[in-house]
Amino acid sequence: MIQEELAILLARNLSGEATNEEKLSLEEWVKEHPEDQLFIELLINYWNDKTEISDGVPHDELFRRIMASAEKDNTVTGKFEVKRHERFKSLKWLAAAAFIGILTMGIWLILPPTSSPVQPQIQEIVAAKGEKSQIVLPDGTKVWLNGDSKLFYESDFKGASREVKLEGEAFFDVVKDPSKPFIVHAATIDIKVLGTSFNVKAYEEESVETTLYRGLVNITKSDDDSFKPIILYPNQKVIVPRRIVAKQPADDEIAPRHATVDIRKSVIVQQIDSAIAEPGRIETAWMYNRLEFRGEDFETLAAKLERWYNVKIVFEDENVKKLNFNGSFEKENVSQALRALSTANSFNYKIHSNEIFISSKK
Amino acid sequence: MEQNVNVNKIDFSRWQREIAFGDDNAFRKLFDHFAERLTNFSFSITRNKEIAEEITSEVFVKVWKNREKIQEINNLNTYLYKAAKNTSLNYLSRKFHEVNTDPFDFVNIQLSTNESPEQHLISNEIFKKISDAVESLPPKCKIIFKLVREDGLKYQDVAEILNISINTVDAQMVIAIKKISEKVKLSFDTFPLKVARKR
Repeated sequence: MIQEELAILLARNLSGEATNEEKLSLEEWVKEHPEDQLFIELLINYWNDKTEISDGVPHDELFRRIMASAEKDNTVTGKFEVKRHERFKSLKWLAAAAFIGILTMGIWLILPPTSSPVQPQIQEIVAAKGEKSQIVLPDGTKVWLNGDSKLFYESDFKGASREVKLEGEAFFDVVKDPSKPFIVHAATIDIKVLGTSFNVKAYEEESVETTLYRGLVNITKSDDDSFKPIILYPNQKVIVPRRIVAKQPADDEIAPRHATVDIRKSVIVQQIDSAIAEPGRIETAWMYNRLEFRGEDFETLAAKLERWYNVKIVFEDENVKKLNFNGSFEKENVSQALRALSTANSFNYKIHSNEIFISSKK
Repeated sequence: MEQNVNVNKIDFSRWQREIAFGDDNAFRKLFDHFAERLTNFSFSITRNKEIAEEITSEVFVKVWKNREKIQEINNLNTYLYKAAKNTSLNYLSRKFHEVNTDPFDFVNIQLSTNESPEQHLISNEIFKKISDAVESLPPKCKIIFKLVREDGLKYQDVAEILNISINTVDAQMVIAIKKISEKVKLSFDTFPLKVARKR
C-alpha cells in the first residue's frame, strides 16, 4: 500500500480538485520517490483511459418512448367538453339570433403561396373588412387573417430567421424549425416563437394582444432594449397597452427615467381558461366564424362590428358608448345583430347603407 | 466512439434555455449526454437493468413535461442524478417494504462494465487488475470513485447527490486510491508487469 500522503495527492490531482500547491507536491513526490513512479504512472493512465465507459451511444428507442410518454398528456384540444354557447342561453337576444339558412359574413380565401422569384420579394396578404383570409407560408406555417388585416412576408424564408409583419389580427400555426426562429412584428412588438400556435391582435389605435395556445413565445419591444422580454407559456395571454406599443418619444428628456418601470407593470399577462376547447375560445372565435364579446363596452364592440361586417359606426352621444355587452354572433347579418344587441341593452340605431348611427334611448 | 466529455466543462444553461422553448433537439442532446450515466447510476442502486432504464426514462419524461421551468434549475447535472437516485430509492422501498437509508451498503454491486477488448494506454492485463480492484471497493467508496472518474463529477456535486459531506467524498477517494494500490502492488509481487508505453 502506498503512503497516505501520496494517496491524498493522487486522489486530489486525478479528480481535478487539487490546489496549485497540491499539483506541485505531486510532481515533487515523483522526483523524490522513484519507487512509486510506476504505480503513479499506471494509475494516471488508467484514470485517463475512458475507453470502457460507453458514451454517446444512441438510444433511439428509449428516446422515442420518452417523447411519446411526455407528449401524451400535453394535448390541449380535443379532450375537454365544449361549452360553447351554454353561458349565453339565458340571454333573450339569443332567440333573435337563431336564424337558419342565412349565410354568415366573411369569406374564406385560400391563397397558395406565390412562386418564389430569384430575389425574395415581400408578399402582402390582405383581408378586407368583413373578410377573412387563410394562407400557407413558404415553410408550411398556416396563417388565418381576420378582417381588416394585412400580413407581409418574404416569398421564401431564406434568411437566418422567418419573419413576418402583421397589421390587424391573425392566428398562426407555426411549423417547428429550431434552426430558424419565427418572428412576428406587430407594431413595435416582436414575437419570437418556436413551433407554436398563437393569436396576435394588433389593430391600429388599440392594444396589442397575443394569446398563446401551444409552445412558447418570447415577446420583446423592437424600439426599446430596456424592455425586459416577456415569455408566454401555453394558455396565457399578454396585452400590451397602446401607449406602450406606440413608438417612444425621440427626445429622452421627455420620457422620465421611471417610465420604463411603469411600462413593465402596465403590460398584462393573463391566464386563459384552458378548459374551454379551442373552438370555444373567445380570442380565436373569429376563426370559427363567430364574433364573441364579453363584458365589452359599446365602443370596443363597435370596432369589432366594423371589421366583422364592414360597416362604419357613429356614436351620437357619449352615454351610449358606455353600455356593456356579452354575446356572440355567428350567422346574423348586421341588422339582426343590432336588433339583438338593442334587446339586451336599449338604444336607438339607424342604418344608412353601410353606416350605422347609434344613440341613447330617450 | 465519442470521447467521454467531462460534464463540468459543458455549460448546460444554453440547452436549458432551448429546452424551455420546446426545442426537442436540445432535449435529445441532453438525453444523449446523460442517459447512459444515469442508467448506470440507477443500476448501482436497483441492481436491475430494465428498472434502471425505466427510471432514466421517468426522469427524462418529467424533465420534458416540465420543460418550461427547466431554467429554474441551478445545477442540472446534480439535479438529474438526484432525480435518478430518488426514483431508484422509491423503487427499492416499494419493492422491499423497508426504507433503505443507505442503499450503497450492498456487498456486491455490479455496475455495467463494457468488456470490449479495446486498446488501452496501459496493458490489458494491468488495466483489468485495476478495474477489478475498483469493482471490489466497498459500496460507498466505489460509487464515489465511479462518479468522480467515469462521470467526471466534482466533489461538491457528488456530495450533493449522495447527501454526504465533501470531506467524506474526499476521504473515500483517498481510501479508493489506497485500496487500488494494495491490489496492484500485490500483482507487482506475483506477476512480472508488461507496461505498454504509449507516447
